[in-house]
Amino acid sequence: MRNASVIETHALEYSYSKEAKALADINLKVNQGHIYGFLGPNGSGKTTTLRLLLGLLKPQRGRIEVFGQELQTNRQNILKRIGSLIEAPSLYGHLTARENLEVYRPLYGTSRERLEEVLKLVGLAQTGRKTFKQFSLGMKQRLAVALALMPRPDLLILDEPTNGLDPSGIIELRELIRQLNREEGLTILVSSHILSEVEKMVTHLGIIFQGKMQFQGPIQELYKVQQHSSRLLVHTSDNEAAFRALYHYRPMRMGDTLSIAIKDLRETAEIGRMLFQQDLDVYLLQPKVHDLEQLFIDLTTTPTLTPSHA
Amino acid sequence: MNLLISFRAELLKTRRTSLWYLCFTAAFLVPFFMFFDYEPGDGLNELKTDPWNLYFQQGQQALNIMFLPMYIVLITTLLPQIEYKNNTWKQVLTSPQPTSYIFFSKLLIVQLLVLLFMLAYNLFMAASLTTKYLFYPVIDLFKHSPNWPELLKLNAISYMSILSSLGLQFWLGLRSKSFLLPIGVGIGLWILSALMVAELHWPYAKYFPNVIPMLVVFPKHAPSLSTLIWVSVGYAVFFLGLAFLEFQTKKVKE
Repeated sequence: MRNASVIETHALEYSYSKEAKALADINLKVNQGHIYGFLGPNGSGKTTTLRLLLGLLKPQRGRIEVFGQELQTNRQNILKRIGSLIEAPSLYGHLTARENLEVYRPLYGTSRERLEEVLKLVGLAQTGRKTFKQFSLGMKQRLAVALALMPRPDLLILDEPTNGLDPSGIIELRELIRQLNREEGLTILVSSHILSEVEKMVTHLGIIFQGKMQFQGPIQELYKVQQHSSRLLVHTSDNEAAFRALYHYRPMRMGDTLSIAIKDLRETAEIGRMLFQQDLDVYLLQPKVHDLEQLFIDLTTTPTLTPSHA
Repeated sequence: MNLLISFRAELLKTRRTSLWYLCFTAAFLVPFFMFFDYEPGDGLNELKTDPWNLYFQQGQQALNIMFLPMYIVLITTLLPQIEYKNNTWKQVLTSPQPTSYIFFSKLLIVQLLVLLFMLAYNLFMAASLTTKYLFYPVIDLFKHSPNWPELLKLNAISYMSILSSLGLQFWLGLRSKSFLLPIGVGIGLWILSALMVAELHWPYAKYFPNVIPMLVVFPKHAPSLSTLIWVSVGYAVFFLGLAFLEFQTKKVKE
């Protein structure tokens, strides 16, 4: 049942005021076993979407299905199967690690053994009487992860979980997420505003900008988009002749230069050879390869570049 | 899932908070000041006629006029501040429990704190009077016994009369991220109430929620005691209903 849908939203909309829509027509789809990276710059609508998914906000339009059930009518049953970490670690500063988990343990109906197990898993079993406020940020984040994992959830929702973590903390958390997905088959939705942070661990991506989905699909699909968006800039002694010679590459005139979509750098060499064969003097042969980060910036700064995958 | 589990979670959150210290410290204040009341002479002569009942009646006046209202303002503010201060509302509201259970568990904690305060207050009062007897054997304390039904009635009146301000302050505390706002409003209303009763003698003062606990201790208001209690309960139902509706509809609390 690896393709069973875990989260599905249908034409979700939300506005905080009449003037501006925070979300418009959001059709999120996360299947079982996915690690879904939910990306977008600050203020793009990520947190609003996650709040809707967790029942903290009521959708003004559209529907939310989690585990194939309507969220509005099955909120409690659904929340029992979700572990969540929303923004900053939200735990009680005056309580110890164990006490913090004990507050929630009976609510999820989990055993004391499981509580100890998750404390060991995140390396906080030996913190004794030390209270949460005395923890380092990394420890706080790990305890929040322990809380999210305690009920043995089927779905983990992590909102910017690496916020404030040092590089080793980020790597540790990334490893833990991959391990949980691999070994326990957990479906994970992780939000971030930095692509490089989630690129290495996610199987699927959703990119949101100004409340609209700009891209959704497997990460390989984004790599394809990236390849197709790389271009070669050409300027020769006779651009018209070059245009004719390179006709099947569908060049575009851009002032003094021609712009050609290329798949990889080998095509640059091919085009170069063709121009020499035409006895043209080449003044400029400049590949502009889009890396994934650049593509993400394009998708989240100029919504007109929206690809058809959204 | 039942209310008891949610209540247990709420109770655990209060561990090592100032709420419990406040409960016992506040309960100790009136008995402490009462110990220095009744100077040797006329005061003690009056007290020895019926020490238990006079001592507790006198104590109830100080309790209702000042200490209990202030205690209510503080606990109804400090309890929701546990969530605001730690930024935990979102985690609480995404846990698998009905929102109504969260609301009623918090309300039950407040009730528990009030009842525990009352119990501690009575025990400290008894201890205060007994200590006074050790210093002034003329009181002859153990020749008298407390009028238990009267004592119970005094406690019940104090508790019922404070429900109006409890409802109002619980609503304010729950909806306000700021610690100072509900405290400020509570103290402001208390000063206004004291002015209404002591200075302005406004005829409609008895319908003002914070005035009720002050009025019930004066013998001249004894005939309208049941009306005052019903007004207090009515206010409590109104404010708690308002708080409940708001809590149910506005789930993101920041």
